[in-house]
Amino acid sequence: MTRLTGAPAEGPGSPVLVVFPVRNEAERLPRLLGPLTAIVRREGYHLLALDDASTDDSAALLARAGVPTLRLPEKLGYGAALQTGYKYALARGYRALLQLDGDGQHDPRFLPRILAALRDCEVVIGSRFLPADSDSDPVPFPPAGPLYRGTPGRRAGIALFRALLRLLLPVRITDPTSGYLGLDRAALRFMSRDDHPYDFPDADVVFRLVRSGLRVREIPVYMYPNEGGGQMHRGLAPLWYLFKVALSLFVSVCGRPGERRG
Amino acid sequence: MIPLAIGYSPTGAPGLPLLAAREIPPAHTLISVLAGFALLVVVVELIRRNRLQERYAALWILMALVSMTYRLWLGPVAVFADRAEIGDPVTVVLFLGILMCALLILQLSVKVSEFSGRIKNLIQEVALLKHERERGSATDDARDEGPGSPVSPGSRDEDLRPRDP
Repeated sequence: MTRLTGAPAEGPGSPVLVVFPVRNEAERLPRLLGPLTAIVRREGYHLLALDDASTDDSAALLARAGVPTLRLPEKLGYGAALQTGYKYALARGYRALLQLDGDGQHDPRFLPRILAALRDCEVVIGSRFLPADSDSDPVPFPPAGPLYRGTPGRRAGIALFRALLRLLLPVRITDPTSGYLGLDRAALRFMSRDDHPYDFPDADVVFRLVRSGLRVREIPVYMYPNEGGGQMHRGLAPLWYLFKVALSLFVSVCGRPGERRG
Repeated sequence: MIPLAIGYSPTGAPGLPLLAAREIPPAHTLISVLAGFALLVVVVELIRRNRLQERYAALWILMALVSMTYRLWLGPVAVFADRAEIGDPVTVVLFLGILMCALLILQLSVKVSEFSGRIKNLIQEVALLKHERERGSATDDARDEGPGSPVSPGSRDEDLRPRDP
């Protein structure tokens, strides 16, 4: 990858990039942008929205809010949109990348906690299933609203992959589906490879991260209901999703070329 | 002559020993040669008009050749059908044809996967370059504090708005 101009030097002092993918989120963006920009400003992070070729007012909303946006000229999917952010962070020399969903389901107040947890590992997953006091450092603020753990069907799928991961991995992962992540440069390089899923990275990616020797740690986060959203898991989509992740996981267990075994 | 299998043969009566290679009606041979030749002409013509690349034509040409030489290899196929206790060698021919089609489709699926990966990388690269260019023109007059982000510690609300070139 070509190194783009104006890249800050790599190292402990280099800044941290916060990214969130946006795909037609005009209705749900406002509730995220206020708290998110406040925290980003307070903590001194850099912010970048990854607009996956939205066809609604998302782009205008982001521009009005002054959020730097990287717009994909064609729709690529959640995973590939985020991967663009990983490539951006690598090219610009960011020391770490924090990602959260663009629909406001993730409470941005956890960003500093995720970054702090990244000090002694390469990947931090914000888990909605860990209780807020399960960490060594209990969450000092209450949730901003009712918490959300997914529809029953979705929870069943997550439980299945969680059980599979438990069989396959030495570390316990409770929320492999989470899009609330902290990644250091080693993890970013791993997730920028061509075999990273375009659509929804899930248990398969978590498995490969751990298998490749990267340290993955979970911390509890708050996740709120998706107001009026959830269009990505309707109809036959959940079954397809289940199949796709299971197949990807199976292939990963068999081992992909170029992956070292941890 | 030891009957290897009992089956139906197009020219003989049902139940007689089958020696398919000797019993192919000339019309069958003619049809297969013509069909194979037509396919070959179409494939060559597509290459000539630059609508099909040579490297994707290989399997099609192979298919055309197999069809044209039907008469030659139906003998071995009939023997194989007898040994494998498949009553009708035509079944074997059909099966091989379907297998060939499946191979072609698999080749296409592999190519589609390859191209979707390349297109994804191109779209990402275009987005990154476009962002870089826009940011470059937006920060010509003022040295920006951060890479791509006007959001920095202590900055006020106006810093969140896009800068004028």
